[in-house]
Amino acid sequence: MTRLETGLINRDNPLNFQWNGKTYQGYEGDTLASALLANGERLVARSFKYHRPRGVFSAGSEEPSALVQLRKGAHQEPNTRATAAELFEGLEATSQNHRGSVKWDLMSVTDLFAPFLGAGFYYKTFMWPKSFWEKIYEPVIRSSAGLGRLSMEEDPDTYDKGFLHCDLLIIGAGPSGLAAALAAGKAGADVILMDEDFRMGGRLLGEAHEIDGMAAVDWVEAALSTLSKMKNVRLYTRTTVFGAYDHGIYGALERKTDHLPTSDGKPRQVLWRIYSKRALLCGGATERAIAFPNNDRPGVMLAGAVRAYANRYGVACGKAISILTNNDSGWQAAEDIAASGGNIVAVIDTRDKAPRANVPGAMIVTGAHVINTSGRQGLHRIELSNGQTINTDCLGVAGGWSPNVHLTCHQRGRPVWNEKIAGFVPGGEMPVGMSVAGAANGSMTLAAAMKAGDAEAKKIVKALGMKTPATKLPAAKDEKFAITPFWHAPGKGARAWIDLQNDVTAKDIKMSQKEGFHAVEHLKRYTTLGMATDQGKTSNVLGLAVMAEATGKSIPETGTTIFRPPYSPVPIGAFGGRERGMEFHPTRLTPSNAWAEEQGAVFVEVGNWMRAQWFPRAGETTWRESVDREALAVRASVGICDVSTLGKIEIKGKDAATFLNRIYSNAFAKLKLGATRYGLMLREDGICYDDGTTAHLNENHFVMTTTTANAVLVYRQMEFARQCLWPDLDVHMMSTTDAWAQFAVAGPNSRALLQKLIDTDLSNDAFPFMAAREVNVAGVPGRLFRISFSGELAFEVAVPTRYGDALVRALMEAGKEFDVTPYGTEALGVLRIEKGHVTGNELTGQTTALNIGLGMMTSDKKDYIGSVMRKREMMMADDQIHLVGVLPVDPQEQPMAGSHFVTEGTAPTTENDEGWVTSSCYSPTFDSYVSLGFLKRGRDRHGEMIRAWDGLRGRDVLCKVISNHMYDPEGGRQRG
Amino acid sequence: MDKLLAKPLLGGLKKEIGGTVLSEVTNTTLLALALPNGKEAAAKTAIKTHFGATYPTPTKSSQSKDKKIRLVSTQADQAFAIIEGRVKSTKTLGAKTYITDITDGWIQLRLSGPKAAEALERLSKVDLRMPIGGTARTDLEHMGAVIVKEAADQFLLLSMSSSAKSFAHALDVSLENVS
Repeated sequence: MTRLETGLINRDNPLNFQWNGKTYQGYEGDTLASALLANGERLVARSFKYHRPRGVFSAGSEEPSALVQLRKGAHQEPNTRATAAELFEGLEATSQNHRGSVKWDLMSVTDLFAPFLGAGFYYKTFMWPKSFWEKIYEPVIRSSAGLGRLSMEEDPDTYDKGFLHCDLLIIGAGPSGLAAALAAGKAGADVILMDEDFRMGGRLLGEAHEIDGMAAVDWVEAALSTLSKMKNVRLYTRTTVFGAYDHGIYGALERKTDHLPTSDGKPRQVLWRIYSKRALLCGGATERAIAFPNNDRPGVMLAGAVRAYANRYGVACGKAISILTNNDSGWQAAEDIAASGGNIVAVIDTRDKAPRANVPGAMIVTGAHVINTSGRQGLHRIELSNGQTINTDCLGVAGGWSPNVHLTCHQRGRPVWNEKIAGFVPGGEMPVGMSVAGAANGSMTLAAAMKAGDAEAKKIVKALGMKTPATKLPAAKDEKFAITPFWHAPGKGARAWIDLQNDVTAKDIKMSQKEGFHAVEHLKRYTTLGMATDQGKTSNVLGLAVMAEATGKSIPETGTTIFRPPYSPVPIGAFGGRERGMEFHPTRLTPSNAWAEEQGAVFVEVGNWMRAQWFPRAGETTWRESVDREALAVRASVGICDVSTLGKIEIKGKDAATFLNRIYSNAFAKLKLGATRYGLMLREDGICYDDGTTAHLNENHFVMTTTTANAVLVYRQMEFARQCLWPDLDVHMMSTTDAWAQFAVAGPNSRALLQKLIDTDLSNDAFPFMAAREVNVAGVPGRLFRISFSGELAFEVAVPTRYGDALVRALMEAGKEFDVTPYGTEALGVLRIEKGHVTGNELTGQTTALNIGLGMMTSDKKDYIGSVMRKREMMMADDQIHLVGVLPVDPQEQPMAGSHFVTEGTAPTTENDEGWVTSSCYSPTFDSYVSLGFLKRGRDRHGEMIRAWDGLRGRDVLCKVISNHMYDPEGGRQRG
Repeated sequence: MDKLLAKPLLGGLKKEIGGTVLSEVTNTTLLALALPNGKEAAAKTAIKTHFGATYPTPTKSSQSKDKKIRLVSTQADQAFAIIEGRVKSTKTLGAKTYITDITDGWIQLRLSGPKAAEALERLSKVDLRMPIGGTARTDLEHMGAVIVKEAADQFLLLSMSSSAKSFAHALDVSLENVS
């Protein structure tokens, strides 16, 4: 385990890092794994279930074993693959999943009980006694389960998202991806090339090849230099395309600052959504192991990884390296490692064939395999099937290559078995617009992969209507590639590991088969094969092969498994992006917001709006004191409330009146100029969905107000009606909710107050109840509506939003002589309950006009939305619920919203349920709690006594049923 | 009573990082123009006469000769007129089209400079490679928006005025993130 002379690391930039508290040195260009190996750290982790010693197994994102914790404190991140973690100065990393040190893990005692803990153990064992599960079994299992630990602090990093568009997305910058990018880039296509590694080149970085007469690494640099000069090509390193979604959309995670000591306030990662016309997957292939007894010791690695550590990182993974192979790539690995200065002691080929290469100094064994290994915390020796033993501290296993078909499966494409490469290649229905080239498509040799990348790119640009460029294919050779599958070497009772991350053995797979879980999807769930964070990249095919062996079937007959996104783990924080805390959704502010803040208002979120709930005054200790004061002030003199949140829709066109007459259930065809009218809207099914007023301001010009909650819904429904139901009508709409600052000025002195700002005559004769006009408000063109939600003499005055702040201040100033009082949404609610007006509590989407006491507003003389369905028998029946007011016998006892109405002397059961309380408040006007509610035949039961029963909160309040119009039922005040 | 004073939504916001500027546009009038059913051609002619700009086709905008007026296609039979400075009377035009002054309903922000597109890429699902003058009705960070590509490195962005602060904040964060 020493540094070799080779490698792509920058020896001029040494980097210090800490591993389990001890300081080490690596170089720029190292991963944590390569730096640990270079420093002789073979044992880096403990396995998930049995706490077996584990080391680095691979050299890429497929790593199942070397999972570590990075950084400290709130920045701590568990379960990070050391093979994909880029080294930086000051990196602090620790091993995980052990009690005591990683070398002396107390939990390794679990391994002694392994014979009892095989697949299905949990399902069978913890069934009895039932009560033990929650109190004993689960807590014990939970405390010992899992790998790393979360910091339990809030994630201090920030994340962002973004959207990219391109003609061609190329996934993977290995030989085929680079060849494709060169061709498509030259054709002028808008190309995005993404690679998960921090350096582009794919396997050309980890293997020694020659392209165009130069070292492959130099060719990669030249290609990247060419591509970076093309304005139509964008290169993204450290970016994993993790999912293929509908219509050519891909998800990718760019790790912006994971390779830096600090993010410096910038997003750590960016989640990209990529809209591509076409995508070309050049994801390469992943090597797989061979199952033999005790094949999980630190030092047993993938041969390609040992080769990459030598070529790319200048690290010899052992002092005496051996190779076990069933294909030619194992020989190439041995050649490369030896050429880099590594000491190859043996090459064992399971095939009984002549040696495929000359590896000086190595013992060559053919037609044999490994039947056992030894070495407590790392490999020391291997035992062969021919009886030989070899002293070796690193065994590179070359079990063949599995094309990285993952993204082709994301829309249920099912890979097909290719006998020639003994691996699954893309098949079935692939995501729309996706094609595959290179090793990911089964072109396992260099020249073939580059040719395929070039050809696919040209095919794509042609399909996109571009001219195919004349490019010269780089000169490269096809290395030897031949494989005779050898999956599993039975041994002397010791376990042969398939899935290193989830501790699944060949025995577990056979157990699964024995117990009837033959189907691959059942096998996965029974044994947890391939279900860990590595998604079985190195183990799935091997597991399948062992199952095939157990069932006596071929691999294609046994089946295959498909993959789901993500390709590799994506932090939840990245999915959340910047939408955290108050940035979870946008905030809408009313025009008087700044002024209300100055008054110390208490705000409430109403949808996205922030509305003043009440305005506390000095000396007031409870919210009720403020709300009672505000409500009484409106009744006694005058109050001001910002009602800008109400939906406002301008409706124009010569057919606007006709349109409104079809939208509202009450008559609107003949609404006079200068008048406004309260209206009710029904859905197609005859149920009420919104109410509001519409004013006839000018010829062919109406202004509608909707409830705050339904502003968007009403607009959308009316657009649908306009565009789809009656396109022949000349009607045009525009939302002006945000364009107008609107204030309710309510109370007996409202007219006198407004008259100080408005020169129009506001007397009852000149401006009667339900009048609406364009007026001049303190020098600004505004609108005035004489409407009342509170039941008092009241107006709503509107000016363009930019004048809203000035208007509220002007109203307060002008109202000083009347002791004007700003009131919030709570007092607004009190006033409307006293008056018996409905809001969302009553318009629940389940109530009809008859229910809410507005049956007379459903015309029989016209056709409108809901006019037919409202007449269904059940909806017209006599024993329906009706809106009533309820007054508690004890004025200080509250019949709370949600309470059920039950008659005196009957049990509170579903059968006896007679309705419910919808809205409730304390009324300072009546000096009593008052409520609204729906009561069966309520209209005919005024004067009766009823119980408001609330089982949830343990209340049972005796009440008197009265009219919902509790305050000023004749309406004299609002008309005065 | 004194005349009410207007207050810009964001107090005339202007922020610059490395040559890229995010600024509030305050000196414009925004009108929504709707074409009456069956009289679309006459309305388009009247619009061209009045504003000196052709009625735009979907996803496009047009400009008057002095570049002070831009018409933006916003939906079927509807366009916005973004007018710099004072607006001449629309009385004559009003007989041929339906006009609604929506100036106060929208916040207008301009993002310009070398990082403008990159910052907007963090928010816009819409393809920003659109031609200059191209427009889109979309949403940015959950807020309804209109994008107008004024130049290769300059975008005019419109959104609801009530969430102006959130809108500006979203763009500000994007600009900080890419700078």
